[in-house]
Amino acid sequence: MSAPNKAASPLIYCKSHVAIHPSTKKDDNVFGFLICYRNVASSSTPSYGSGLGGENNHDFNVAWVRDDNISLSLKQQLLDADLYFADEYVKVNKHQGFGTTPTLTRKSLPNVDVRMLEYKSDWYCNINAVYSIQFRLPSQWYKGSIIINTKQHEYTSNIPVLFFHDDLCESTKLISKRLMLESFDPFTSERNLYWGGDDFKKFLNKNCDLQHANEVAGLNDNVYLVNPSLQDLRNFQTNKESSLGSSGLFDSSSKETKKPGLFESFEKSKWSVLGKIADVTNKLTNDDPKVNPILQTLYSSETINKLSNDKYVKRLLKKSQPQINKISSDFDGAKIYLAKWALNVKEQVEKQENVYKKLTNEMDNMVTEEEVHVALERNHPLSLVKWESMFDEQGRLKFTVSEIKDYIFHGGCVDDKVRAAVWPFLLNVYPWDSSEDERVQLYETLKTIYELNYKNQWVLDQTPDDFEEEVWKEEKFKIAKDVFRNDRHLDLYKHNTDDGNAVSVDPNSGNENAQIGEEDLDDDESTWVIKNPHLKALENILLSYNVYNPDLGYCQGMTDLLSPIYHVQQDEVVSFWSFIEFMNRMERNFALDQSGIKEQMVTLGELTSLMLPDLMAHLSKCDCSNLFFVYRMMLVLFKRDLDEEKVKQIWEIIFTNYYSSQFHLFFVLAIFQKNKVAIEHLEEFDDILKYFNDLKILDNIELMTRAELLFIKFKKIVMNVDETKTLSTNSSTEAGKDKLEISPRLRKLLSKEVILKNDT
Amino acid sequence: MSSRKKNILKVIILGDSGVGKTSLMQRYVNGKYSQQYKATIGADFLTKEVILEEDEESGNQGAGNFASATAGDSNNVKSNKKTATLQVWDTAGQERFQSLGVAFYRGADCCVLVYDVTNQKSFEHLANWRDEFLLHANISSPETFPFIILGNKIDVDDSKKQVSTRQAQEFARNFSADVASSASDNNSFGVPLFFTSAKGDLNVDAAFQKIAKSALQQNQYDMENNAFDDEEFNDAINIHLDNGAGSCQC
Repeated sequence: MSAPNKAASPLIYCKSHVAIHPSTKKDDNVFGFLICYRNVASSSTPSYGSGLGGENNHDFNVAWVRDDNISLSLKQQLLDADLYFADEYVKVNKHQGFGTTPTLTRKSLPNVDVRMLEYKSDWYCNINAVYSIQFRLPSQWYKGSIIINTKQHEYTSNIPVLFFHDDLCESTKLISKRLMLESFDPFTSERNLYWGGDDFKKFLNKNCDLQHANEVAGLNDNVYLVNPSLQDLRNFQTNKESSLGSSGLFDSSSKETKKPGLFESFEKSKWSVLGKIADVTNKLTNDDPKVNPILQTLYSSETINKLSNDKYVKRLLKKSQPQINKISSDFDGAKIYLAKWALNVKEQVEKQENVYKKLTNEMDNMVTEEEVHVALERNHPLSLVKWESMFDEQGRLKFTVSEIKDYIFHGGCVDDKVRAAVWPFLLNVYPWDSSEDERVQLYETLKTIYELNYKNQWVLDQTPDDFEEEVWKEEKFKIAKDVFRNDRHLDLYKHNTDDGNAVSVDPNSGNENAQIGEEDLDDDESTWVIKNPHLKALENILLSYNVYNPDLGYCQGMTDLLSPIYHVQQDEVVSFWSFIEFMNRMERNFALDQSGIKEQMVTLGELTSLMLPDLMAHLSKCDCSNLFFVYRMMLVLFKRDLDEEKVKQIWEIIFTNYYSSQFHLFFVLAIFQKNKVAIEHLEEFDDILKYFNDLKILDNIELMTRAELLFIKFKKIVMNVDETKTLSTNSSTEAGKDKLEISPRLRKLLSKEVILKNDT
Repeated sequence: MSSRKKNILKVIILGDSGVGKTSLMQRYVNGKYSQQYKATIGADFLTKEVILEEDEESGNQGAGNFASATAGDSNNVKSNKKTATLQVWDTAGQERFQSLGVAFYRGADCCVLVYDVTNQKSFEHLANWRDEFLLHANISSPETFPFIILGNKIDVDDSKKQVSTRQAQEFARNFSADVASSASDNNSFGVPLFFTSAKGDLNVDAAFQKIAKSALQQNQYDMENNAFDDEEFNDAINIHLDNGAGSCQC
């Protein structure tokens, strides 16, 4: 999507011969164009710093204009545009079967007056107003079509089903011809026969967060959610790939299984969805009565009978009588939807039930199943396209910070690319309400400050103002030794050479001694000289931080804290400022008198006494109540206990302060809970320390789930204690005597404010 | 309360960061060496079964008692071989967290001080490490507690070496001069010194053989004292506690 003339035009998608079918008669069909265009007022801003790659197309309108409503010249322009986008499609999808020498039509994109189009259109709406789109594949008898559902109901009723007349549409013909000619493969990557709607789906996929609401009711009905909220996704969760079987389709309803109240909860969140499907089928019947028998032929009568005779389905159908009646009177096929859906729920329930039961039991039934569901549901990590869709055309966040944190807390980021964009916000380098331009400026400022105020102080072998020469030398040596040994198993840091690549050994000039000599040079520990540019950057940042915070000095563990941050960013400036924020949070761990880390150990001890009293009693018996065996976990936040990817997943959760600024303590508590049985078999400090040092936490999804539920339980305990207190002080003096007390220390765990060094 | 267990000999390795403590431990226990060890955080330990032959000339009473207590079952009394479990503790080299080390030092039977022969500073700091250990480890008789010194990385090129053999020997010879100052006259004694290379596997086993022996002697000596008068021993510890760093009751 980088045609030179494209940026000038606000038109970003166009498809010809997209028709509405007001009646069953062919002659009544009305042809038109499906178009997408950027808002005329906004222009695309160059992206920088925030990770918003390329043009920001996430804010645009969708519209449909009928042929007979526009001038001939405008129509011609749109036909040209149609072909132009076909070329784009071919270019973009080259790797998916198109040959390398596509004979393009060489159409250029005409400068279409989109304001005029909008004015002439039957309807238009912003993409963010669209809730879902259903893509219905063409069949032998029917054209492929799409159904657009918007968030506002009144709106949706204005948008009729759009049929793609592939036999007439030049661009579609062009693309399918290419597919046939050049790869002899008329199928798309999804193994469906190519049709006109594929273009649109591809386009949307590129430009907004399009999520397949998979197999709703077990039918492959191709409903896609557009820029869904996390709540939508939770409701629509399909979760085929989940290893834990942690959640399933519609599983927030599954928690009510086999209880009479099933529909109370399902109605709230799910009924709207089913309602939409019902609406659609309703529309379908009006527009095209022949669809009904077709759908029915998908299932033999036996299947339908079997389905409707299933006890579970029966009960389900009976329970929801009013709604069922309404739907089935509208459209018989809806029954199948419901039946299949109910079966699906039942299946999921059986799988789920154990996980749910186990977790609720372990939390002493103090968490609701809804809470378990939310904690388990982690299948929607932030993707780059999702993240970008959260910004408006100025690169300003459209979502609330808490919504974004919900996303990160409950799913994290897909990969380091997303993290590189998200972490600077989490670590306060960029303000949440900044625009793209502001971030660009901020970056430049931060760069200047970093270089002038901190790096330049030492960079030419000088001793910074606040240091004596001898002390500075020692600090430098300490840092070099730790950086030299930092995460050398990772590709980024592996080779200590000037370009960070392996020393290439010329097999021909094979003087063996020379080779060994070179390897030695690479590894020679006695010199501690750092050459790898990324290790060098770590060293630079740590030295500069030393100048930034001369009172603290370098402490072992800091390299561990910096390494993943740099690994994600690979930018010295952003990493430096991210590290400063991270260190604000971690600094108290490094206080010379160890007040900070001890304070946390005491807090953790009190928390464990409250939440896992048996375990704490056991630890005390083993002379381990000081909890020193989790010292390493606390100091470097699990960096040594998890592999790189998992460390990042845990850290981004901690960075959010979503529930608590000390959420890491709940992670430790979760580890305690999970390993309780094993720990209770150990009786000496040595053995317990060894157990924790060698503990490799494999399932960190479970860890996250447990930590969240433990927090919720903790919060409820505090609330309960407070309630009983108020009650007892009101009634009499007697009761409050041996009641549980929540220390101020524990109360602090409910705060989202980061505890700084000086606070302790 | 002591975390000492029968037949487990606890050895603590101390020294500046980067001198090779982890490498020495790994070399001795697992027979391997890697460039990829990270800076140690907190403390960790590895264990290894050791077979020790009784030193004929070291007529340590404790050793004798111990032998008769355990050797009765199957061991040939003449060959005087014993097995024990050596628990080697690897610690963080940065001094910042030494008071936390208390938790890890307790019940030590031998202390290994390591320096890097290419790093003069690490050699100069040995005395600090010794004092630090004695301050926090709650040792009943510091004058006789076994220390062993290892000069590591002798595989490197001579040109890079900063600590001479003579210097090291002198330090080892006068090691206890300032420890055993008050009570036990001018009874200064030397401590064993080994030049090792974890990377080149030089002298590591020999050094640890000596370490294990010293640890065993110390262990038996302590057990004997402990057995004689349990209560008094505990009192002694308490007195030490009060005199020493108050922070170590944790």
